Amino acid sequence: MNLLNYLPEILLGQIPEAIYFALFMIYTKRLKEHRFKFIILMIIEYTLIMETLRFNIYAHLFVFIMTYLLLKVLYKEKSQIIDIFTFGIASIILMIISIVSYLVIWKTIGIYYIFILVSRILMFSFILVFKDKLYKIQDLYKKLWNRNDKIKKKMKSATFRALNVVTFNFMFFIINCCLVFILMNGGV
Amino acid sequence: MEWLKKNIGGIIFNIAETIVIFLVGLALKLEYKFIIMLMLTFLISRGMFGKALHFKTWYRCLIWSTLIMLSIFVILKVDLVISILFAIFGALIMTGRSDITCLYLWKNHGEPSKYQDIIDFIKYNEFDDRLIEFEKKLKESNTIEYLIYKYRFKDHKTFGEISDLLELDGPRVAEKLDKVAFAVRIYCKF
Repeated sequence: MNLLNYLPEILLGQIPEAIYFALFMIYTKRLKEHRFKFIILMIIEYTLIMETLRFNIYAHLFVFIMTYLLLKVLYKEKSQIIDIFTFGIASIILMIISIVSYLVIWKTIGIYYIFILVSRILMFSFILVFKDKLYKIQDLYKKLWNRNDKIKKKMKSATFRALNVVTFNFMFFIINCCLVFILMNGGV
Repeated sequence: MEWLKKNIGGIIFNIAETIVIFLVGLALKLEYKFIIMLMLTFLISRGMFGKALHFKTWYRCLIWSTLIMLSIFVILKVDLVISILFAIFGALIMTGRSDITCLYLWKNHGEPSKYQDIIDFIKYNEFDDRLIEFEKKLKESNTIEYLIYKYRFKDHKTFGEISDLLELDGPRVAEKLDKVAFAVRIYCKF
């Protein structure tokens, strides 16, 4: 199979998703420097991993690890372990958008390109609408992550972390279920 | 005997919790060896990372520990290696090792550091008599505070690096640094 077979998938699937993830992290972490570099490296990293390990759960695991490392290299100490969970939130939102688009468009109209187009529009609309509010995610993490008994918090640090771990693990399970579903249906 | 009397409640709770988690694994139809392996991986990793976070009430501890292990068991349905990695990762998150160490160093919207005046003063007045005297007195009176001062203002190390070098938590470093910053401002009158 030559590269042309994969081209629509890369152009419509992986590149927009990589840009979405990069923008999500940029707005959430209020990153001012190396924005363009980060987006380009995210595209390369995401596309390479997703194409090398097609429909494989390890691809998603590597994307998480590589994105964290990429942030660490580019932004040094501004990158923290909580970024993994921020990236997880971006994945959950993307998953919800894709599932809703699948159920509404693919199941009714049944045209692949319309389904892809709608899901991409929804994905970037989300970023555009919430770009000025996304930083609140990081602020919430900064506020609740570290244990500090002197400050009265809505949720204890241990509870907040446990909630994140549980959500993160279940998210991976759901990603795997989606992958199995796609493979059973011969790919979307 | 005295120790046993004191800790009997905790021991009974831990045994009960282990049984509950084990039963959750069995309910998911997992093999004994994998349940035990994942439980041990989580437990040992958490112990090795140190400074484990604890819940204040027993029922919260039971609920969240069970949920964490349940989510790891669910991952086992996906892949064994990933479930082991997630057990280690989960253990790391549930310890002080995953604290955000540089929390107090972050500058929002490109604002200068709140210690910028001190950094500038030291940069341009390195041989100022008052400053030299201050450093000498600080070194003699409190080694930790002197090292924090040196690392932050002279060596320009980050909170994370200072925290690691001195084995102090981020908030503790921030607290001491505030104290030193106040002292240097007063002593050097700027």
